[in-house]
Amino acid sequence: MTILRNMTIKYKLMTIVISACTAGLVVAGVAFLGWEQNTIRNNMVRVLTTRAAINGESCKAALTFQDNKDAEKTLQTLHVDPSMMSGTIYNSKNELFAAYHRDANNVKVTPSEFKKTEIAFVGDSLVVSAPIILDNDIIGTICLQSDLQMVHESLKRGIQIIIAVIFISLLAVFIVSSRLQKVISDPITNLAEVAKGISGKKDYSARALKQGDDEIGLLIDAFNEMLEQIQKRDSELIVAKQGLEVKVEERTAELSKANEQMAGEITERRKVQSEITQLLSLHSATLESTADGIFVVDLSGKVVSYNQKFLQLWQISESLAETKDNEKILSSVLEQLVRPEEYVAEVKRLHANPLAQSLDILEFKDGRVYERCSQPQRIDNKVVGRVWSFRDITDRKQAERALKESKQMLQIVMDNVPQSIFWKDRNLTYLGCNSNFAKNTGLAKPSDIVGKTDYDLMWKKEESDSYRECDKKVMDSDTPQYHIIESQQQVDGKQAWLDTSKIPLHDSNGKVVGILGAYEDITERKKAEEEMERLNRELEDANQQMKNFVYIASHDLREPLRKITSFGSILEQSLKDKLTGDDSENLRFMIEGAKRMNSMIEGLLVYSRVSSKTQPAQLVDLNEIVKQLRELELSVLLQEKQVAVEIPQPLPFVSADPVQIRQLIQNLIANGIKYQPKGNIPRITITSKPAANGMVRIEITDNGIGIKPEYQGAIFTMFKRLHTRNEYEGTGIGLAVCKKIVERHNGQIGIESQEGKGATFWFTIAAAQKPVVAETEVKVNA
Amino acid sequence: MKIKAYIFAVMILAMLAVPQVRAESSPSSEFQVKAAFLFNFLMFIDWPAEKMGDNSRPMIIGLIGDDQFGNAFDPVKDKMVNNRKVIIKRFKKLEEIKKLDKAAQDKEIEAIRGCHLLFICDSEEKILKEIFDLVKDNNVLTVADIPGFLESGGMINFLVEEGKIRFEINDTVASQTKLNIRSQLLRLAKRVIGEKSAKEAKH
Repeated sequence: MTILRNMTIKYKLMTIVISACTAGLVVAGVAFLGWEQNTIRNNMVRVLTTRAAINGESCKAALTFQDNKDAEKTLQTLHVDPSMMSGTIYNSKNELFAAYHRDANNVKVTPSEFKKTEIAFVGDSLVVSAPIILDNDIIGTICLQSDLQMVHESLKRGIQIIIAVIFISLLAVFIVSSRLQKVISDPITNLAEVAKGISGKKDYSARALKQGDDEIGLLIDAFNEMLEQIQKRDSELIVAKQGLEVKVEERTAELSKANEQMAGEITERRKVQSEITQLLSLHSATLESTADGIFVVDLSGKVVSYNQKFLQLWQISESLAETKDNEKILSSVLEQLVRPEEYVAEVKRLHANPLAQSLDILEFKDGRVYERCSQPQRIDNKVVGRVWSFRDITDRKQAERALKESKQMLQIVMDNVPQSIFWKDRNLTYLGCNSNFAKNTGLAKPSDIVGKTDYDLMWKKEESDSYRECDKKVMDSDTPQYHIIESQQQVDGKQAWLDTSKIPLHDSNGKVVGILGAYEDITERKKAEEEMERLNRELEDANQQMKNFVYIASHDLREPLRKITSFGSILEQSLKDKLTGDDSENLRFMIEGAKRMNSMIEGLLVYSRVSSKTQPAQLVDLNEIVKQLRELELSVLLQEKQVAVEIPQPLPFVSADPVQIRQLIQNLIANGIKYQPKGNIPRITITSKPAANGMVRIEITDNGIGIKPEYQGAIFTMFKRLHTRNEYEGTGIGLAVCKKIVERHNGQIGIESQEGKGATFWFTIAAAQKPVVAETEVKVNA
Repeated sequence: MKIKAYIFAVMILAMLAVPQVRAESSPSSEFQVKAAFLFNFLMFIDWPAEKMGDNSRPMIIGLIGDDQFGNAFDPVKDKMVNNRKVIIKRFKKLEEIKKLDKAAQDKEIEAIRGCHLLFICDSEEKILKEIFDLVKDNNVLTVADIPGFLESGGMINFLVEEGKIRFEINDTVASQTKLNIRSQLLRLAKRVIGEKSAKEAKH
């Protein structure tokens, strides 16, 4: 196109005319060729279809009677048309029945669908297949194939003709157009030359020559008109230029004045600007330095400002905050709250009411607690938005909760201890008490005590005086007092005994600021103690009387017995030969009875003496005791029964009453000798071994009859006998005495035995403090 | 002895089995083709209008004598020819028909005359003349499988050439009986008697 644009008008016109003609001829030629091709093809199809029908008809009988030779003969007639490539007939089973091929090496064509009319251009050929119908039955298919030689030849010829036509036409067009173009190009060339002259010489007086009344004629007229106007303007312009210069000077002066004013304003504005900047930086520093989260929105709910604390506390990312999308921020905020609906309700309430202020508590799902405060933001007394501040009060809330819990705990403890508890300030005014105290003082609930003094309560004035006296002493001396036993008038008017403890209360500086008291009603306990004391005293008296009685009784009883015994013996002596039969025996029974009674009384005396007469403990050598017993108290018995008393190891020293320990060992040895089977020689062994708590254990073993386990507990009881007097003599007092003695020495006594295998009596007694001395003495005695 | 008896028995069985197979398979396929041909003849031959009657009347193929077609007509049983039903009628040997009483005999002969096509079986070879006289002037196409049938006065005769069933036509007799055998059929015939028609067909 650019080439066309820069051509002269002459060539332009000619090029346009020739191009238009060429395009028209080419389009006409192509259309003609297409139409002709289409016609030829349609003709071919029609011819081939007809031929297929004719041949099919001719082969009907041959197909019916399966005479393929006849069918082939019919098909052979196709060779008349050299464009026929092949013809084939298929029977009703679609098997090849007869065929004709123009060339032996032709590719065989089979219809894509049998027994149907079909027309197809396959490769470089036209294939037509048609059903062969006999009496409404399709008895086979005929398929004819023709080449397209004719089509191609006609196309070739057509193109040749069209090229020739185009060539001749163009020649004619060139000749005609080169003549006719001058009509248009000449006046334009003329005009162009005039314009070129004017622009070169700036001579606006020149005019173009008009040749006709067409558009170019109009153009030339307009051109000449324009030249005239330019000429006129030119002269006006020169006048105007001179006036303008004066105006410019005036305006310049005005401008420089305005400029100076502007400079002044700019300086002023800069000053204000820097002040604003300073204020802004102060604002932002304040915003960031505060511990609270701050969030500012305008009236439409749009985010105006916030600080980092705000983002941190709500865990809002910078990117989300920068969107300034209040809705999104709100939804992320709500997810973190325990009760989002309250939050939303408050926000809505405040939004609807721009002047309102609010203060509420927010609980976060993660346990944090924030105090939310909302204030309207005002500029010149006009509300423009709202400032939200969020203060972390988690610690405070937790502390409050902990305090509350510990107070509750304390209250529970105080209300459930049996004591009554109260506390007062330095001026002895009650600050609090527990429920027991409230109950005692007839108050409905513990808090009623606050502000009262002792004089406001129902007890006597002198009691109150004494309590306050005591309280002052405790506080002044800063010393607690425990177990003050005092009496107090109760609500029901009765007098109670109290066991009170008071301790001073201190502030954090250690100064005494009050007193805490706790008491217990011990009226019952005190009564019981008094009762017990009285009983004890009575018991002691009775015991003493009893002891006296026993001693006196046994002592006084012995005198008549002795008389019976001695006078009985004298009477027996004097009547020795005169008594006959039973009389002598009766007399002896009487004397024996008196003797036995004597020994029983003696036993009782010993028993009572053990209780009443106790010597202080002293060092006693058991070896010495045994030695003396052998030689004195038990010598007759030992000799009579041929008893062997063995001490395999020297016995220890003990700390005891020597008389009683002698009695103890004597009784135990005698007991071992007494209970022996008939004819057995008694053997007594005394051994010792250390026991717990500084005691020694002494064991006295015999080879006697032993005791059944079920009776072992009873043998230390007074007058308890396991055998009849005829079997073994005894008073039943000996072992009771032994038990008494051991108990008086804070020891224990017992027996280990099996029936028929002897018995071991043992007791524990305090060991001597100086065992070394004892040992040397043992050696000497041995 | 025992072995001989055994072999004898097997041989008898073999002899019995083999002909049975042949008797069943081979004629049946041959007669199926022949049956189809008989049907197809109906399509290529024109009967005079008075013989055809109106469209509702069927075309009748008659078989006279001991026919060997068996069930060979089954494949073509329901086929229509020129929009007419085709009925197969089997007739006894003429000899036997003659033994019937007069009324039955007349009825049978009338039925034979009513046929469009009459296939004359081998059993009637000896009395062809008699049959031809019977159906004369009744426009009946006579077909047979008997050598010299055309010369005896028959119209179409089957024969076998190169294992294929072919036929020969006596167009002269057919023309006399007012039957028009189409040239397409004549062209396929192995031999045509009646030069004029044959020449027409060839060209």
